[in-house]
Amino acid sequence: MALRLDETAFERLLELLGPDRDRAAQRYEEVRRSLVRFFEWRGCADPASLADEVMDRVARRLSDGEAIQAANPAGYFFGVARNVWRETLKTVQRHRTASADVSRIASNPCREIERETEAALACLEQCMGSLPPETRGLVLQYYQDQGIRRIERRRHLAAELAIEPGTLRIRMLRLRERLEACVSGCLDRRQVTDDGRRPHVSGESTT
Amino acid sequence: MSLAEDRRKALRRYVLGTSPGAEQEALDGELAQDGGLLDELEVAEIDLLDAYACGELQAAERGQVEEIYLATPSGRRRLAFARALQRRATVEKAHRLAVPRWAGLAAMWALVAIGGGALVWQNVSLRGDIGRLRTMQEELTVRGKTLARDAVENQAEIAQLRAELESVVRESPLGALPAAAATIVRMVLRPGLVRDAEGAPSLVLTEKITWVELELMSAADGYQSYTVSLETPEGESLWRSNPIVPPALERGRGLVVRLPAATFKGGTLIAILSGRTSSGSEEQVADYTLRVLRRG
Repeated sequence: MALRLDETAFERLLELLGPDRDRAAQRYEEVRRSLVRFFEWRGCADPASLADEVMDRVARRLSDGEAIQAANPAGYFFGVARNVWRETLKTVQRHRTASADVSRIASNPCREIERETEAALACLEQCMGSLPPETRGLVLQYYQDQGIRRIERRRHLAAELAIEPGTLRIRMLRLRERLEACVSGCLDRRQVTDDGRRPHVSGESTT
Repeated sequence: MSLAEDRRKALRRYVLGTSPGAEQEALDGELAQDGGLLDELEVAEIDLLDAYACGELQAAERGQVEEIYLATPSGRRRLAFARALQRRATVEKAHRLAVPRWAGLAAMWALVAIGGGALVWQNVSLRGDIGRLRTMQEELTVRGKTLARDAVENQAEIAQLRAELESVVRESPLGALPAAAATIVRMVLRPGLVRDAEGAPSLVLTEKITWVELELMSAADGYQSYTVSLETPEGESLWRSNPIVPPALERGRGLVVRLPAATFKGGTLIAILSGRTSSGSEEQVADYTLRVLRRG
């Protein structure tokens, strides 16, 4: 599903999200991101497209002259998102069933995830190198250990940094998002290179 | 179960898409608010993925994760990233733990090296000391031999000096040197005849007196040498000195001779001073009478 928002429709969306255009643009990104996660956590196959579908529907209603009187405009977006999700439930179920079939059919799904992990590890090393040493050290310490030891470690780290554990959690979330985006970009570039080297096989899936 | 734990489990159910209807709608509503639920849910999702990567999930949750994330390329990528980050952090920890061991080994080897170096240095130092001691020993041996030779020579010289001294003493008018514990008495005698023995000066000798010095006063001069003899009134000779060649007699001072106290018999004795002329003839110069009294 491609985004079909034109400039006028986009401007109306921003007006809905707030009088200040910059703040509204920021809020737009936040809402879209939330919607993507909303669909992801419901097991939808293409969450980004579904989020764009929500934005598209709201913009269309605005263009049709519908007045949206909501104390929290973002709530309106999520209302539309639930409708979209219900509409796609059958598709999702089909997707999950198909995925399960794929998992069962796949000769060795563990091998595939292992291969992806190895590739991600190489990219992670590269992306970590771009972080300042103290940040890199913080990330690696934060994700060490397991269970209660990990909890203790993180509490200790927060105390060392003189911040609340919750603040540290959010800071690490942002750092992880940056790293994950970097690794994802790295994997994409590698995939393009690998695809360029790999001879084309007739009938091979390109998804 | 605490509220925080309830919340954590609810968020995890939402992420896994297994929330009951009411719970899901409530969280949807929160998510729509301009609040922090999105961050909370993302943290819950990361914890879930990390738990999966660490193998901490129970079978049911593990199955749900795989059903969702292995189904899509983006989901697989997220799982792969979580596993990669976990591995990298584990490697980092292992490396961090290995550093002290390496440092410990390095420190141990450093100590061994330092200790070995110290032993080598000590060995070299001791070898140097041994060398110096050997040199000193050789020097001392040479010096000892020299001292032994000197000692022999000194002993010979001492013996010679002793012999010469004894000879001198024998020839000295004062006689042998008194022992350290000796007691010496001196008697000044003037020449001239006395009316009887009762009028002669008395010499009292005790057992402690070992030597007697007689200072013979005389105006005689011009003789080559002198001789002193001790006799009894009956003419019995008790003692006679070697020839004495004194410097010119000073006015008011006599000729002194020293002789053992044992020489003196009790009673009246006569000391005779004789002089040898330049022609070699001997003349009696003067005689001195004294009375010897022995006590103790």
